[in-house]
Amino acid sequence: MAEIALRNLSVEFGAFRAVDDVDLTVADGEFVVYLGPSGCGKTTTLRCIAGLEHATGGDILFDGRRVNGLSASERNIAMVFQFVSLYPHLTVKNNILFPLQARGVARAEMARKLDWVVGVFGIGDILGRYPASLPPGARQKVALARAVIRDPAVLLLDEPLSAIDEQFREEMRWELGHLQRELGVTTIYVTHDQREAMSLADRIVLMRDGRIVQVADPDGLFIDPVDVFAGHFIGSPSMNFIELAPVAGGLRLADGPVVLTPADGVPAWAIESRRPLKLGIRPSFVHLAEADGPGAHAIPIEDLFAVGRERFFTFRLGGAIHQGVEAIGRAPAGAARGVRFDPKGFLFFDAESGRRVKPEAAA
Amino acid sequence: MAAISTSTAPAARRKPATNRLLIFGFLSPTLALLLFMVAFPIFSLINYSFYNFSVLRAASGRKWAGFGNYEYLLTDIDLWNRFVFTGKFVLITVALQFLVGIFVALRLEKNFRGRDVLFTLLMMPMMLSPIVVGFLWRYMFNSEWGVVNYLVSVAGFDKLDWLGQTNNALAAVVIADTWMWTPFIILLATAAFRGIPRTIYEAAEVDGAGAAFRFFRLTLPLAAPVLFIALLLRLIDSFKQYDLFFALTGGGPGSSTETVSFALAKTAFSYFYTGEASALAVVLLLIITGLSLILVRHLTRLSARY
Amino acid sequence: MTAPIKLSLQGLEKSYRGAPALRGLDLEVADGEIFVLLGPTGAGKSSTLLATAGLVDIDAGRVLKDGVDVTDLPPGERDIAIVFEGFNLLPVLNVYDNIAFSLRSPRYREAETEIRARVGRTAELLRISHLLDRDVETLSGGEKQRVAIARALVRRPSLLLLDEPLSALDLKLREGLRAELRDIHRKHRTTMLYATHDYHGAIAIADRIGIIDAGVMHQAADIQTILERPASMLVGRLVGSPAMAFFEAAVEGEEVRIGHGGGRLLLAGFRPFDPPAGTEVTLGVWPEDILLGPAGSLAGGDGVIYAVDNRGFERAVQVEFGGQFFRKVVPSDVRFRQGDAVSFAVAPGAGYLFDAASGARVSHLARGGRP
Repeated sequence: MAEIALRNLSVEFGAFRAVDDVDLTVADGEFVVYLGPSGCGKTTTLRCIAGLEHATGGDILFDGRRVNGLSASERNIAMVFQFVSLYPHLTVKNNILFPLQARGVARAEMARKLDWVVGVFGIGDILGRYPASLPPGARQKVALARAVIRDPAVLLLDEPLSAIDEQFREEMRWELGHLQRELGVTTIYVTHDQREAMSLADRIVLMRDGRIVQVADPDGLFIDPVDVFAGHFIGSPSMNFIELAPVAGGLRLADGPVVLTPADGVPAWAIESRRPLKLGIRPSFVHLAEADGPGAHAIPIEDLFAVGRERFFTFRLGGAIHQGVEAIGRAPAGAARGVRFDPKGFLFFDAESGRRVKPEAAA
Repeated sequence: MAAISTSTAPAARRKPATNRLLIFGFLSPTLALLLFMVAFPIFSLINYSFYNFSVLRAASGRKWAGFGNYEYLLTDIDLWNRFVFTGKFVLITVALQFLVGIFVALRLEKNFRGRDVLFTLLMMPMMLSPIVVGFLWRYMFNSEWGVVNYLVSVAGFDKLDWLGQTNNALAAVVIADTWMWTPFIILLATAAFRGIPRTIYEAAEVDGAGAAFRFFRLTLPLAAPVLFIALLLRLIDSFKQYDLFFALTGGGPGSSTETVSFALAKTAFSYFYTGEASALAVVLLLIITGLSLILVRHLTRLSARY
Repeated sequence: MTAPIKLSLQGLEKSYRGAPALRGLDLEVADGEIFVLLGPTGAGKSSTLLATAGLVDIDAGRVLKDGVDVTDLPPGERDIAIVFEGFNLLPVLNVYDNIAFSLRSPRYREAETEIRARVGRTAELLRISHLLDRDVETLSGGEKQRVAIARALVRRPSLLLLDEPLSALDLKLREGLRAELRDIHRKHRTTMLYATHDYHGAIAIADRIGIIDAGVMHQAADIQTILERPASMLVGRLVGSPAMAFFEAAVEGEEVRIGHGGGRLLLAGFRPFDPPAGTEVTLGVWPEDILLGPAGSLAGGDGVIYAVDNRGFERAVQVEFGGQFFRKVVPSDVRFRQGDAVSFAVAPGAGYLFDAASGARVSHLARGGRP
C-alpha cells in the first residue's frame, strides 16, 4: 500500500500534449477514478504511473520517493488491462502465480498466497482452466487475482470492464467495489463510463484534453460541478442546459414565454448578474405538475413515457429537447399539465465560458 | 406492395438443387487438373515400381517384379548410408537455420532506422533459384580463388579444401542451404512474434519478469505453434534437397555426398532403371507424406486453439 | 388488443447444427406499436428477427404478416426492413447511395427524382442531411447508426426490425438516439420489433415488452402488467433496476418461511395456491417492497452491506445474508457503508411465489404485490 503523488505531470508525444500539468495525491487505500472522454489523457496518465510511458515533465512519487527513473517491473505496481492480458498458454493457476515465479518466490510462499487469493476471489474451481475457455468476467477476475497476489503498492486498472458484455458488467462492478474495500489496496481506475466512476470511486478526477477539470467525491461532482462539461458528463439522464436572458424581475428561459422569478426560487444575484447565464438542472429536479398548480409553468409536454417506476417526460424550449422525471403516484391524473422546476437543483453557469457561477462571483 | 405470392414452393425449394450444380460446376476444372496432374502420375509411378524395366528400352517390354524392386532397395547398404547422410544433413541444416533465424527475428523486433530495408535485403537469398544459389556458392567455395577461402586466410587460418573432402563438402552445402533458407525462418518467426499481443509483454513487465524470463516463458511457448509448422516445412523441404548438391558437389567427392534424392535422380536419369527409381520415389513419397500428415494435423489443432 | 395484428409468429423452431435457438416461439405485434424483445445473449432474439425477415429458414412454425402466411416468401417480398447491430453499411458507397440502395433495386425501381426526394426527407428526419456525400468509413458510430436506420426507413416498410441497434454506441449517444426513435415512431407510426438485452433501453421506448430466453417467450405485455404479474423468475431477473430479489423459501404448513430468518408469510395471503406436499418454491420480491434498516430495527432477517453503488440522485446497496443476497435502491440521504449490519423485512402484501424448478409463477400475495 502506498500513497501516490503526481506533481506537474506532463506527457508530450511530439507536439501533442497528452497530459498537461496534472497535480494529484492519492491517499493510501483510496479508490480514485480517472474519468473522461476518449483522448482526454487518462490512460496516458495511468501508464505513466505504471512506468509504461515516460513522463516528459513533472514527478511521480510513491510514498514520497521519486520513481520516474524506475521501470515498470521495479515499481511494485500491479495492472489490469482493458483487453485481457492473461497468458493464453498458461492455466488460471499458472497465470496467477506468474508474478511470483518471475520474482523467484519460494514454493511454500507461493502456495500460501495462492490459497489466500482463491479464498478472496472464489476461483478455486477454475484453477485448471485456460483463459480462452472462460467468460470475460471470469477472465478479469483472474487478472485481478494475479494483480493482487503480490501485495502491490498500487493497483492500476485501465477500463477493465469495457470489454465485458453489458449484462455482466454490472455484476463485476458490484464485485470490484466490494473487493477493493475488502483488500484496502490503493487503486487508480480509468474509465469513460461515468456510471462506473460514480459507483466505485472515493474520489473522481474528471479530465479533458489532458487537463484536470475537477477533482471531487462522487456526490460533490454530482451536486457541485465546476463547469458545463462536468455537469453534462456526470449523471444519466444528462443535465438539462437552458439559456437564460434577464428580464424585469426574472429570467427568461431560452427565448421562450417562460420566465422564472424569485417565486420559483431563482436567487436575486442570478437575476442581477451582468453576465449572460445558463441554467443547469438535472431531470430529477424537473417535475410534472398540475397546470394551474404552484410553481407550474405552461410548457407543452412532448412525450411522456413510463420507465419502470418513474415517468420521464420531454419538453421543448427554444428548439432543444429537455427531460424531466416524475415518479408515478405523484403525477396528477388530470389532462392539463405543467412543468415545475425545483430550485434545489438550480445551477448557474456562465453562458460563454461554461464555468459555474456562484453568488460571490456573480457581480 | 402486399405481394401475396402463394406459389412459393419453387422459389424456396429451388435452392438446394441449383446449389449443388453450381458447386460442382465451379469445382470441376480444379478437380480435372488435380486428376490429370497429380493423381495420374502418382498412380503411374506406383505402377512402374512393380515392374522391372527401363523407359529407354520400353520396346523390350516389362517384366513383372512384384515387390522385387523394394526388396532390392531395402537390402542395399549404399542406400541406407545415403539415408543416414541425408538425415545428418537435414538435422544440421534445419537446426542451424532455426537458431540463426530466431536470433535475427528477435533482433529485428524493435523498430530502428532502416529496419524495413534490412528486412527486405535479408529476404533476398530465399528468392533465388536453388541452382543459381548452388553455383554461386560453388565458385565462392573454390579452394584457390574462392571468396570464402580468401576470408579464411585473412582471418589467419589455413585455406580449406572445401569441396574435395567429404565433411567439408557437407559443411559447404549446409552453409549454402542455411544461407538460402534462414530468411524463411526469419519471416515465419517474425510473423509468430508479431502475433503475440503487446499487452502480454506489458503485463509481464508489470509482473516483474525480466527479458530472459519473458522470452522463455512467453515468447517461445506462444510462438511455438507457428515455429513448429516452420520446422516441419523445412524438414520436408531439406529432405528433398537436390539442386544444391548437384551444383556444389555433384554428389562428390566420389559419391560420398549423395543424398537419397541425388541417388534417385541418378538411378532414374543416368542409369535409367525406371522401375527401381519408381520404387525409391514411392518410398520417399511415403516418408514425406508421413511428415506432411503431422503438419496438417498440427495446423488444424492450431486454428482451434486460441 | 384492439389494434389489428401486424405480425404473428407461431411455434417457431430453429436449430443451428443441433443447437436449438428457437423452441416454439409465439409472438404477436400489434399494428403501429413498438414491441421490444428483451432477453439475455443467446436467448434467440436475433434468430427471431432473422426468421421474421426470412433471412434464415425455420425448421417449423409460421410467420404471418397482416394475416398472410409469409413463411415461404423470400425476404425481399415481405416488405420488412431490418437495422442490424453492426450497421451493415456498404463500404463502397457513400451515405446517399447507401440509403438509396433499396429504392434502386429491381423491386422498387423508383425514378431518380423521386429517390432524391425520399432520401432527402428521410435524411432530414434523422438529421444526417449534411452527411449525404460522405464515405461511410469516415462516419462515427452514432452517424453510421442513423444511416442504417435511414436506409431501412426510406422504403416505408410496414414492419421495421431492429437488432440491438444501439449496443455499439456509448451511453450518451444511446439516450439521444432512443429519443429520436420515439420521435420517428410518433410521426410515422411504423410498427417496430426491437431486440435488446438492455433493460433500460427497452423500457425507454417500448409500448410492450416480450421477455425471451432459451428460444421461448416468457411473457409479453406492457411494463406495468409485467411489474404487477411477472410470469417467471427470469422475468423478475431481467426487469427492474435493481432486478427482483429472490429468497429461498419453504412451505411449512400454513406459512411460507423465508430462508435464514427472513421472516414468515401466511400462506393464506397468497392466492391462488394449493401446493402439493414438498413443493420447492422461491420467493420473489421487488426491491422497492423490501424494507431495510439498521441492525435490529426490523423484525425480519439480518444481513450485512456487501457493497454500495452511488448513482448520483440515489444509492443502491447489495445486502448479503446467509449466502444469499439482494440489491435495493435507497434514498441519497441514507448513508450505508460496506460492512454495516442491517436488518430487512418484506413489506406486507408484496411478493410472488415461483416454482423453484420451472421458474414459473405460482402465486402472488393478495394485494397484488405492487403498491
